[in-house]
Amino acid sequence: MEENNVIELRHITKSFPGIKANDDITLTLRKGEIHALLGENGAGKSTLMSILFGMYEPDSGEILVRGKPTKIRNPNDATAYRIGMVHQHFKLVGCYTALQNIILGYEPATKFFGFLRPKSVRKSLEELCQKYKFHVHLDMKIDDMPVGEQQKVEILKMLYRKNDILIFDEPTAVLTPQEIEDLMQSMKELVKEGKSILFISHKLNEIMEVADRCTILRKGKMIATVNVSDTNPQELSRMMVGRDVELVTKKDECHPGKDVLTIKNLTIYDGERKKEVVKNVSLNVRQGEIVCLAGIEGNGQTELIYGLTGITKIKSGEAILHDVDRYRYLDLDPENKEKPLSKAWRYVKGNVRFGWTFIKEHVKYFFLNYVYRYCYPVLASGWRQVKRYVGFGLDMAKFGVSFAWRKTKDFFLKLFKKESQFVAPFLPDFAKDAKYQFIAPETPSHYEVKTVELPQDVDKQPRYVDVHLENLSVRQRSISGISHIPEDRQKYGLALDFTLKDNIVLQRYFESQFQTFGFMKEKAKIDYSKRLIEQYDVRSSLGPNTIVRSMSGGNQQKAIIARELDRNSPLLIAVQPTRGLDVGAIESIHREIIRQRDAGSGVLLVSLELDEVMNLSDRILVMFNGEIVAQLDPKKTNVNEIGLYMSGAKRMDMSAMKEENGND
Amino acid sequence: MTSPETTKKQNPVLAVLYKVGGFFHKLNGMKWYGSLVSGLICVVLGLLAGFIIMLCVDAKAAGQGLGILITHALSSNPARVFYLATPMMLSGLSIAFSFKLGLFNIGITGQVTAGAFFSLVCGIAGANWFVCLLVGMISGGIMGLIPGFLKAKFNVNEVLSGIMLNWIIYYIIGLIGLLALDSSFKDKNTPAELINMPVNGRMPSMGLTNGLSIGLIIALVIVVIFEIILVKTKFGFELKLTGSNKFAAQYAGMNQTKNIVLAMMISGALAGICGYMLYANPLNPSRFHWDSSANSLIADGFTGISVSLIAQNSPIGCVLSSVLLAMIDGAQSQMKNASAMFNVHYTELIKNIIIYVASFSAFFCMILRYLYEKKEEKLHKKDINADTLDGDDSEKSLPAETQAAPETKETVSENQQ
Repeated sequence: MEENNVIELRHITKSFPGIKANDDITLTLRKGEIHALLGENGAGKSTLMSILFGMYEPDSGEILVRGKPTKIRNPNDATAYRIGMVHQHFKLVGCYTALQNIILGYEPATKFFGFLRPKSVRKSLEELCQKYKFHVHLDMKIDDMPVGEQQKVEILKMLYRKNDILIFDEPTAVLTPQEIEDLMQSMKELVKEGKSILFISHKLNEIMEVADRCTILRKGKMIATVNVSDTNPQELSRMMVGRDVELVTKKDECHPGKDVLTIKNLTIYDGERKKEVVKNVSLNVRQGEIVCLAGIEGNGQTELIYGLTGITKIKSGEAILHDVDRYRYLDLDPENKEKPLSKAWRYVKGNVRFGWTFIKEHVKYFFLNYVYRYCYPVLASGWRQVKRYVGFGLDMAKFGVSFAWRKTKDFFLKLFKKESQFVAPFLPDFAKDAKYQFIAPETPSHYEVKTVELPQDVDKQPRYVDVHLENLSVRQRSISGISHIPEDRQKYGLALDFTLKDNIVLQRYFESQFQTFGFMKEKAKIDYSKRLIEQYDVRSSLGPNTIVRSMSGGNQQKAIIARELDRNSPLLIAVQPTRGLDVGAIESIHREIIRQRDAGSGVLLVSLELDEVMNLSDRILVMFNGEIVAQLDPKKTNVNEIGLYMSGAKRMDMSAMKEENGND
Repeated sequence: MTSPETTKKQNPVLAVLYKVGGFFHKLNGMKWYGSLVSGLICVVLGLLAGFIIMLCVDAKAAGQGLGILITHALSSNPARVFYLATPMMLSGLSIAFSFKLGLFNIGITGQVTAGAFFSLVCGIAGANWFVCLLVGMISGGIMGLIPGFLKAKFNVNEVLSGIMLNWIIYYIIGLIGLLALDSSFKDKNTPAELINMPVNGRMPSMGLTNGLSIGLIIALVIVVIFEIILVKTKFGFELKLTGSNKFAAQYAGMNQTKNIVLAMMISGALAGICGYMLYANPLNPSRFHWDSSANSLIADGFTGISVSLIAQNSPIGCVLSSVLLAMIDGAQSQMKNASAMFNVHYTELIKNIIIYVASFSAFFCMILRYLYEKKEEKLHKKDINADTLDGDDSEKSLPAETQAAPETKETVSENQQ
């Protein structure tokens, strides 16, 4: 029995600031088994694997590799013990070919001068590919590969280094159902060869399918190690979360209302990749329905959302947001009551804008005058010198230039007609030469005082209007009524070095409840964020004053969701709202989104996880290669069918579908 | 099995560093004066380094030299310290302000030069001091606007465009001086030099005969205004957020182009005022020259970088650190009284080493404090766990855990059999 254990982790403990990531964890991996590591987000799975892979040193406990106590100080040590890891985000160089990536770090080179000899490796790699039925193009660049193939490259990299203990860190998060099936087969194949696999996941069905044993972690502690054949998904999830979890979120029948968002023939061009990433997409989202955009990563969903929210530009087509409440723009209560001071403030702002235009115009004409007065003599004297040396050859050119100059001069003379009075006193004496008389700007028409929009005029205009999103800025779109849960929460969604309260007011700090005359109201900010923290159960060590970087991923996401949902926008755009979160957090986020739907908002959900798509959506749109290729009803379809559309193997006739949508 | 506490004790170096970091953390906890004290400690370290150099040069006179360096400027002519510090304060504030947005305004020298030149020309032409100040501010602002605009619109690195612009401004000014300026503006003996700022263009002195002018008050008011802008206002919030994470700023719909251009322009305008003040002292203003054989930019712009670093980008800190640098600056010429060995080269060296170490240790303190905070947070959490967590997962001490664990161990052993 003991000899069979290739890895033993004994009483591993590891603490981080604010948290005990691993607390006395014992785990054994036998030769030739697939051992699953199951746990919520922040349960310490990744930390444990990082310890095993040498990226962290444990505070206490010991690691036995093939029966011998060892110390793994860095990833190189781990490789020396033939431990390999496929990270969740692949560690590949995008502009290198697959072969170059595989040999990176262990290059087959000549003894002298270090010339590379990739040919010697190619043969053995091709053999490996055949053996495990991998279809990998060794000379293709990583950037051009689909994600599934990139993962195969990672696995090949481990096999090339002759690793026989393989760690897969959430390998299925980015794959299609077909690719997942493929991966499961490969894993079984690898185990048959006598390799051992540690498989980190929080997807229960995968674990049930492929793993032999399963270790469950919760809050850094080991709960149990069970044989997968003796258990069921319900029991596993109970052990993982510590209570009963609804794996499928309950929701009522959807009763779609009017259109909230209509997109017609939207096209987005990506300047970096030099191609159209979204082609001619048309779709609509109605009140009280969840429309889900399914598809493999990189098929234009991200770009479509960025185009809708204004982060990237739309090339052509239109996006219309229906029934936008104009009161949101005018800082009015729903009852059309002016908030204190906002009338005066609007009046001041209008006049400041007018004054600014006035100053801008005068400054502009002052500088035009300045150029005319000072640069002309300098240029003219320079021209005289050039003429002296160059002579005849330029006489022809001179004719042309003088003609052009005359025209320009006429133009400028026409432009400035009157004498200016307000700059002359500050100029040096010689500048007062009659030759360079100052000429004042013609008064432009927009000097007239524009009437500042006041609340009594508001009634005359309709309160709800349709707006074209493509002409608006990000801020205007967000005020019009788009809540956006961004895909990359640490890049777009949060300022990590700012406090929680600052992040919670990120989308509405400019509203009159949080600022007057440009001064922030700290107290209002704190009160508001306290309310949201309580309502949405955002956990943090110091409350509103916590630095967001120190919070866990799930709570960071909860903060974003609290912020976006509390705005009660008619349209909610949620991009992968549960990416990398555990079952418990997913459950609560799903419940919030469904509550938003029931309150009458339209929800546009983008998700890569098909479970979530099937679970949450009322209508599924599948995107492939920048186009919408299918519209499906989640009750009448299954995962495999969606998978076929996602990989481009099938497509629907979309023109028929538009009519169908228009009818109901 | 060893507990975490014992492993921590095993590393004495780390323990000492934690202690130092803890000290700085404690200081920082004490509101504003905390960072003042930690800044002072950095300065003391800098002076210590300078003292060591003095020991190497001339051990007997080192003590006296240090005494002169610290006390001379303030004891002999305190007013001079303050009028030297005024432009530094503004250039430091200029750098600190651009740092808040995550930009490094190294084009500050060009902005100072432009501000100085154009305000001087206006002053010589007969404008009064306030118009000169405005002209300096506007020309500096325009010079700051160019790299800001390039950064915002075309994502050109502001350091590159700033450095290049420094030299472009330098030579354009030479060209203007050579071609466009009337000879009455220039010095009769050395034509590559402007004449002194005439009385109408100099800053009004505050009724004292020692050179202190209204400039100091203007600078202090500007500092206070900027402190308020950064801490209290929406604009400051947007600036800091753009500096911290520009993607989040974009997502929140902040107008980044406006913010970047505006911030660089304001930074440039501060530098322009600094340029004006450099050449408009009421008593004996220095001379502006564009002798291109000397090939040197005005160094006062770059001083702003060290002022801002020692001040840890705080506007109020800039006031103090600029006073300190002015003290050292003012005293260095007197060091030859202590020993003949302290000639210009050595005093320059000592001065620069003090500035260097002080700004470097400011950086070092920040790191130590950060380390300590991490450790502190961990301990704090452990206390909370031990005291308040609910009964199921009691984490009171390590043995208790091992007693609580057998359940899990049994399941493991069952599976192994």
